[in-house]
Amino acid sequence: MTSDPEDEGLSWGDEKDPTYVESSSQIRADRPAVTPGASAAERRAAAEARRATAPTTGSAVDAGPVATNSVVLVVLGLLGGIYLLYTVGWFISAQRNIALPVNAFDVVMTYVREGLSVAAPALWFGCTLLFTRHSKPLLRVLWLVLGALVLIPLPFVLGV
Amino acid sequence: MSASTTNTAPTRRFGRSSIAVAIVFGLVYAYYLFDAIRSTVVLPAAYENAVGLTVADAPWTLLIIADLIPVVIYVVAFVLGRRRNVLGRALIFLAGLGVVATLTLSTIALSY
Repeated sequence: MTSDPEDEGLSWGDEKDPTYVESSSQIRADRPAVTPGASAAERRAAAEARRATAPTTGSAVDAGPVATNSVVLVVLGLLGGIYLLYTVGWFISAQRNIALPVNAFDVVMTYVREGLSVAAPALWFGCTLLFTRHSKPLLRVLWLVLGALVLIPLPFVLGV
Repeated sequence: MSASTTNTAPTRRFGRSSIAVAIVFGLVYAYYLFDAIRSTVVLPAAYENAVGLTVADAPWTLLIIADLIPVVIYVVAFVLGRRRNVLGRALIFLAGLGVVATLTLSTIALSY
């Protein structure tokens, strides 16, 4: 390592570095390889991570849930971005007033409908995240994909 | 109402507040159903009166789909809300109204 403090921020320290901290995922991935099938290790692993699978199956499976979660997180972020774009699309479309009201009550309900269409992506996204809290990540993603298909701002896309 | 819902264990009972929520949201859904039916009646008539157009030129498929949207979404929202509490049911009905708004506006846009 260089002694120059200016350059230290530009390089990775090794295990001898005083600020080095072993990450929890690294510990979890290493454990089965060190003590495969040991009952004590098994019990410790089960206590530490409830969702972790049997340690005897190897480190690849152990690292599985962590990798899946980050993928799901990225997908949720992408879908959130799409929903945000939909909101913008519906907002722009609401400025154009494509539905023609007949009487005074229709005028109110037309505004309500435009407001609802702007809020719809946020409502769907919020409802999905709220009501699928305890469901599988795949189910959450599928619900959000369904919403991304249902809520396409066609008036904006078609330029009406 | 309660006799049919108490048979299945995970389904929560429909209390007075749940019935009120279903009715209040049902009225809003009913307005958009009425609006779609009115379009189904008025628009073909307007096509008939227009020069060079007949009733057959009206966007019948879109008009019929627009009639079905509020009914289908209300039923879906009602079914999805069965296992939720009153607030959850209201939220699902509200999100359903958002879907009704986007889909009906989409059918209007497609008919242009």
